[in-house]
Amino acid sequence: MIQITNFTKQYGDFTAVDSLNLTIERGDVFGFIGPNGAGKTTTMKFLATLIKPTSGDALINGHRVSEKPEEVKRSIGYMPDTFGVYQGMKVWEYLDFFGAAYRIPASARKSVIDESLKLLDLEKIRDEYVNNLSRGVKQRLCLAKTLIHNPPVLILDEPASGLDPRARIYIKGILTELRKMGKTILISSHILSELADCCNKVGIIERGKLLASGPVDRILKMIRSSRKVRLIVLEKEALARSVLADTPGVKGVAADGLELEFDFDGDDEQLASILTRVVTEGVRVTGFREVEVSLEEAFLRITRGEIQ
Amino acid sequence: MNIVNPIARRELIDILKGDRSSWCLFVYILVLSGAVYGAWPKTIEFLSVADRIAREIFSYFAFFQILLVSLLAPAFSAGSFTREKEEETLELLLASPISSFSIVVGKLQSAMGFLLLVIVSSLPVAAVILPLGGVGLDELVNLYAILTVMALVSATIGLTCSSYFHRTHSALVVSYLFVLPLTGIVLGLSRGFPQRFFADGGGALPFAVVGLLAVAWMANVVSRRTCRESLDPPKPAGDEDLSEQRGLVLTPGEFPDSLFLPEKSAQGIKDHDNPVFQKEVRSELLGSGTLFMRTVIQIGVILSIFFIPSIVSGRTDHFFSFVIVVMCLVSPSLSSGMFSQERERHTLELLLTTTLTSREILRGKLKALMRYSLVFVGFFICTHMVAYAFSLRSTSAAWSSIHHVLTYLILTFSTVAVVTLMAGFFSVLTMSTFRATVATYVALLVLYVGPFILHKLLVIYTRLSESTLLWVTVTSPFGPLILDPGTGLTFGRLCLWHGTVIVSALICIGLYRYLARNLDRLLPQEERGTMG
Repeated sequence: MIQITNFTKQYGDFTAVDSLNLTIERGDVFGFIGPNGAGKTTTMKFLATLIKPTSGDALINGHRVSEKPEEVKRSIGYMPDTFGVYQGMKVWEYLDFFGAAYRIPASARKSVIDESLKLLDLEKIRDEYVNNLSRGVKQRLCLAKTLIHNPPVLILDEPASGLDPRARIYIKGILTELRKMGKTILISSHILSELADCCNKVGIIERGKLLASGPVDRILKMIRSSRKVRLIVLEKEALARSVLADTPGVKGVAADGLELEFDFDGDDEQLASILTRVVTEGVRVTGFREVEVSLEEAFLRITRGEIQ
Repeated sequence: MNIVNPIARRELIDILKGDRSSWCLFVYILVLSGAVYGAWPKTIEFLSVADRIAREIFSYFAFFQILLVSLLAPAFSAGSFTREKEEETLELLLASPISSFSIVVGKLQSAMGFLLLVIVSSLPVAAVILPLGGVGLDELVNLYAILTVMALVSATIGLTCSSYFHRTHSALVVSYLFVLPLTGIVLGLSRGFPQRFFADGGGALPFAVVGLLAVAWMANVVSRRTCRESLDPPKPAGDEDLSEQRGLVLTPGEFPDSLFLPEKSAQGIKDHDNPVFQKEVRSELLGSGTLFMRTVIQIGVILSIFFIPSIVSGRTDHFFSFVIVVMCLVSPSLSSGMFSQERERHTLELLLTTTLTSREILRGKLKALMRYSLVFVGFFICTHMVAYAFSLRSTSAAWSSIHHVLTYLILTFSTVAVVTLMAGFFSVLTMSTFRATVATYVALLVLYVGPFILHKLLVIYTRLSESTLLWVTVTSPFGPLILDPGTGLTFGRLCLWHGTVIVSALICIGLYRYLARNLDRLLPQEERGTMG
């Protein structure tokens, strides 16, 4: 449904996105994750035909972005990260304007607007002025606008940013509904946990490069494959440190007094042999356990390049 | 006690560190020096009549200085509160321990700080005139006192408008609509009674007293309004608000307001309608507040009353010159946000990702904005038609000038098109509504006033006759307008009329083609700040 090939975008000397290749299948809800400035918005704007690439191209619903931008616009619903509303318009007028702008016939527009308002639970405020709405309701209105022409592909740039927890849960619920409707969704966020339970695939981008992409389970397993272990000794912490440093699979040994922490790539058997070796060298151990790595910390580590 | 309050200090630094202040100072001195140089006698015999010549030079010097100070002052104060509103920093300011009166005084101090610098910087030019004799030191002191009060009054008018409007360009235009007639009165008095106005303080003293009282009153109004805004922020337009504000704002669907704001249709946008046009005429003006539109119409109509006698006396050109000047002042403010406002409000991406083509968007915007300007101009033209009908009944000579009236109408309409497209052009080029407004004013001055300065210079330096060189004013609608209507339909007049209309059409075509091809300039192609 979406196929990005070698997309590169440069701003002067700065490379915002570097040779990005990505395929999103029909019906996928793809979470595009990365810290601020990673290149998510640039990629999404390119897909929305809003910026020209330095090189590369993309295919959306069978149409090349570079060759048939008008067809691409018809196929996508784009919700930018920052958006405003027109002053002096009521909710239904706002949707009517975008319906007309997407060339929905006037005879069909009323029912389309009613359906969108119902889906986004905006029926009660259809006659409110859009500039009076709260941020959360504006987000829902923008999402209604994005769906007005029933596009098969949705590109949603941080749709839940700045919302309170209740509104976030509501947006997640809508995403689940849209997925059931068979929409292909590309959604971005800089918070992994926000997307982990509503996407079936995720891609992690940092400094314009796609570091990892695939099914959510596989990515989570990958970022959790690196284990953080804490060793607490009674004495000879320097000796323990040198033993750890010489052990294969051990990285990033950090000491805080008698407590040492390190990253370890290996299975439980190898982990047990590390403890045996430390004890054999004559270090008296009072504690040895694996530290639980949160999803956020794992994400930070992968974007820092600590996990390959 | 610190005389300069923290707001004044911060704002003055902002004004002085930008390029704008240096350019203003440069242009100010350049114009004054040019005026004095232009009036300076070319022969050595002038010593015998030095007194008279010195007075004449001084009168030019005073005229240009009063005019420039009046033009500059609102530019440095009309954004005082509107910018805070646009950048959403007003609440932060009002939540600080600084009182609203101190905020007003600080804003005024910063504008006056720069204006005083400008006024004082003209002293070396004044020093060139004094040795000629004929002008006393007391007259110079009186002139500078009048200038200071004029700057203070104009800056306070700008500040007052800034507290009433939400957009800097709206505040700026309304400020000028108040300041320019006031400047006209002061200039008229200073030119009509120079001896009394400058020499014995007969003009300076009452002017200073009245001016300072007006400043104190306006500062009090702004201070109370600023304080009220913090306690009771204005609500966005709603149906109930509109009914409460009847007479102060435009009411959709009610004639003649419906010419600006047609009533909203409950059926929505029809299939053959341009959605952008419908959005603009049915929502945008209403949403951005119609107080501005109402104010400029009221002031414009009041000012037009002074020009009605010119229609009856056969000088329709004076009336149309006034109409074009007012339109050139108001129209850029309506049109300069054509595209930049969509960008500033973050709605541009939503619009550009619809299936509307660039040309459809452009046509919708142009149609709506030209409609505003034409309706605005239409109010004056109706006034003219009524007065003209009376003159047709009373004098048979009026019938012979009917072709003049038709030509003036064509010139006015072509000027509306040029101004609207010019504002749209700068809206795309500068990507900022305020910068586009200022750039449009500068471009209009260059296009419409510049040719007359060039004409004067060419007359002086080439020794060709004025009528021979009149073709240089072909870009300006004032070129055909200033020709004496009593001379009838000469070949030269016809050429200039047609030439101006053709040049206007060419400018419009060029600007339209540029806009149609460059709408994507508005997209953040080269901005790194938008990356996520």
